[in-house]
Amino acid sequence: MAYLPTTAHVTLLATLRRERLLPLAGSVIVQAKQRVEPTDVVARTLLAKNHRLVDVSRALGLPDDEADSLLVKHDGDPVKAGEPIAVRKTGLGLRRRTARSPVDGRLVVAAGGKALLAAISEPFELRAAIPGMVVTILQSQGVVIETTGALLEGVWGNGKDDTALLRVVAEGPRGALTASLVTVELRGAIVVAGTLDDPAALKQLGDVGVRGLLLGSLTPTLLPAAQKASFPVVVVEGFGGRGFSAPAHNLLASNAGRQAWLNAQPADSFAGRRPELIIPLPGPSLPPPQPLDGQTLEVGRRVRVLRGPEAGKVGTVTELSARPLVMPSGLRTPVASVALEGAAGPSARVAFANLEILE
Amino acid sequence: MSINANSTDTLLAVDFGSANTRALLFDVVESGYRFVGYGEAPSTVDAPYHDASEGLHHALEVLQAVTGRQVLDEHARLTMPATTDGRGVDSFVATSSAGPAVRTLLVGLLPDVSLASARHMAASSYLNVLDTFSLGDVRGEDEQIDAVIAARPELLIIAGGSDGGATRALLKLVETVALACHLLPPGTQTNALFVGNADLQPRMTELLGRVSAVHSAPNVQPELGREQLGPAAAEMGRVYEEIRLAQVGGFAQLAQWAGGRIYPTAQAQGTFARFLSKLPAWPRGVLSVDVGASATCIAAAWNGNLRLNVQPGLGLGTGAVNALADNPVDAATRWLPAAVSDDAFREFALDKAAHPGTVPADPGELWLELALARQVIRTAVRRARPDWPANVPGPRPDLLPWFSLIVGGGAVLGRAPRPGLAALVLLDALQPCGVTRLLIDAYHLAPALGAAATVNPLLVAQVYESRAFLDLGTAVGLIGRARLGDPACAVKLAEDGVPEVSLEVAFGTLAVLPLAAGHTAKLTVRPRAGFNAGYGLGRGHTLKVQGGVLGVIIDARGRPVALPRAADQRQELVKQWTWKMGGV
Repeated sequence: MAYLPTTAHVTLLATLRRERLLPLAGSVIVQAKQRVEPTDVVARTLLAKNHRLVDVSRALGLPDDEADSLLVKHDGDPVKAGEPIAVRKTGLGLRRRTARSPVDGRLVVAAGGKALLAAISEPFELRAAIPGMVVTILQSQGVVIETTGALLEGVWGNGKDDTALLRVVAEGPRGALTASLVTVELRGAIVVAGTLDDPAALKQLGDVGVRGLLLGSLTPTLLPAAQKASFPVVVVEGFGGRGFSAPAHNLLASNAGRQAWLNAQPADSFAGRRPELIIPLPGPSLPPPQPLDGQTLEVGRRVRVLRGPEAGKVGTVTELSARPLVMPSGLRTPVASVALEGAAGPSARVAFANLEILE
Repeated sequence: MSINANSTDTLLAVDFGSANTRALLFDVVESGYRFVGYGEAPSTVDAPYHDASEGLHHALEVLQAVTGRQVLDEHARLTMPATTDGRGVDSFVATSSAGPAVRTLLVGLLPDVSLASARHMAASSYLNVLDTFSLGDVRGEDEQIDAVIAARPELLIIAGGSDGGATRALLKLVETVALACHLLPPGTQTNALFVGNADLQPRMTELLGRVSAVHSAPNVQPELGREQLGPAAAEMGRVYEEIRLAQVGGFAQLAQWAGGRIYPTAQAQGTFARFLSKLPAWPRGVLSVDVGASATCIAAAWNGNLRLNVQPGLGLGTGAVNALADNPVDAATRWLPAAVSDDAFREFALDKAAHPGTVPADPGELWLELALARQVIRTAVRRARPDWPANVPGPRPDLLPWFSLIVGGGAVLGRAPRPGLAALVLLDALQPCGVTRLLIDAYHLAPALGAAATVNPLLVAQVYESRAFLDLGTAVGLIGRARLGDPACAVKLAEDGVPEVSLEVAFGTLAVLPLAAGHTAKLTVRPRAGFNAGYGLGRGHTLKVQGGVLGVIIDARGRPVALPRAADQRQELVKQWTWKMGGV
């Protein structure tokens, strides 16, 4: 009987495909098979500063359906502030009643005696964020870019993203980020540290102007501040003081100084999205495989322990119980024997449910 | 494969949860329907699978191993109807709570009238109500439009106007929302459900037809002040199913096997609670509580009058953090037998939300999980109570109304290592008053039976009577206050052929009188002055009680339960209560 745990990627080199999507429909300005760099604009749209509703029928003094027939602008048309949207001639054509646009913008839709206008602000430009090749054009929405590189997935992100150089500032997988470590030299970098429980350090990162923060773990009291931070924040392992797992720390240490994309998108298990760090790397002549997902728990699989005294440790499954066993908590559940990396002694017994496959 | 509704000897019920897929098999054993087996596997509704049938296949493999009955054929397809050599099943019902809560906007005329009815109805399913629009809305139309865009609704529920009444004000609100829907990102699938003034149905189709699929159902307030949610809620359930069928891979095929329906799990749980509440054994009503990973469902029913409340985002998995959102952390940690800092408890809840399928590895983690479960249940009931009828009898407005039966469901209760722990969670979280029978739904039977009621009502009654639920016993919750250790009541338990048991129960303690499951005895309760066991202050009563795996529990801790402020004294009491209940 197969068991399907979740998979977390700590992948040194893989072919990665990522969607880059506009917040609203717009224009894609690159072509399929075009190479792009992180700062290249791949799509544009016009973001509405706000929306305005004009009561056309009232302005014209007519019932809704009659007002609709007198529109001089149509869905999608650009409009200027003061420009007529609909005009009614009265008194043998000598007098006019006019419904005018209150804003510079676009007529989104007019129906039922009303007109919905989008007031235009700055154009929005969507950048590639990662270097690679455009493999799919998503009509008026965005693109899919393929690259090769390392991938590190997290459990929590604050919804922002940015591209910058990685700077590992705290020593070791559990190295704490303190205010004294935050210097002006970190400006424009993605800062990497094992743990963070110093509110002053988090504030200082914003003052210095970092482009991102990647943590092994975060103390829960700083979660609201991390959510509001002006830069992307990703937590890889969980909350508290456990820091990075050894494989995650090794991946980061060996790629310090490289450019990376920190995508702090919130985790969404239904959509399959996790906050992540992608470090673009030159691939071999044959492209490496894409990261594997959805594998069954089997002997020989590399796994990470999610809960219990061994939480955060990584090991290899050596045995799967044929039937449920009683855990120290008293729960009866199927368990795996896991040979933990860097640990002497017998394998740890861990509930299937407390393991995730590490790829 | 087709359903033969006349041949339902063997019924397979499947529930697709956000963490697990569960398969339950019912069959005829010795001339009655019985629950014969259970299989469970991780859910595959989410990425990367996006195919519910994968998880179902694994759950059915477990079920086959447990029961020895082959339900899958050599091509791993469900065999239906059953063959003469005992393979397969005759009928199949399905429920689902998987997938993100449906992003919903409510539109109504008056906040306290039609909008309130729409809100009551929306609370009975897995909907995330992101915003409301009514005549009480102080925002301008421009702001309302931006609010619709920000919400990106999958479902609009529109109520308002009594049948034959005014139309203009509601139309104006709907016009604004409909126009705003033009601004939603391409590919946004929106459904609109109109449950207002019947005269407006054609106009609603006209206004909303360009931006959404339009459904309609009978008015939730056909006359001012007369709320009628049933038919509209049923239609809302169907719209929810449509949204899910389009979203979740494999559901369309599975729905064909299940006669076209994959019921919302909560709706099926509610159906079962309503069934129980009509039984003469439960004259004071039934409370069914199901704590899931991502949602908690409270179904309260009194003689067929069901109030169903779903709290999406509140649970023991992804919803763990929300249990702490509007309560101080010590509301949960005060139930722990040892000191745990607020930070450590938050850490635990956040990690549980990040890894919702995990289980407690050691006793310390088990305590944390049970403390969180108490908080989730308390929060869910507090949010559900405003929708309960005002005339439901109870001892005091600040206490739980009388309930004859409480059914606890969800993995945290069903898989508790010892029944006493599950009982203690229910007693601490709900603090039932008077005499209440406690059942645990260890196998997620309630939604299965609720769904099965649509194809085989006899099966529901017979399985319930066959003691498929874990019967904890009967609890007597005393209302009153005294000094810790002072006498609260005297009790006497008399069972035929067994020596009578009499004891004094002190305030602040729990007492458990053994009475085996299936056995009955006469219980006499004599509360001291100032205490009420459900029959009036200081009034004694003798009643017939049913036993269970625990027996008869006398809960003399007062209502609300008196927890000492001093941490060491409180922790010592929690240890004593746990020990009394056989929780260690």
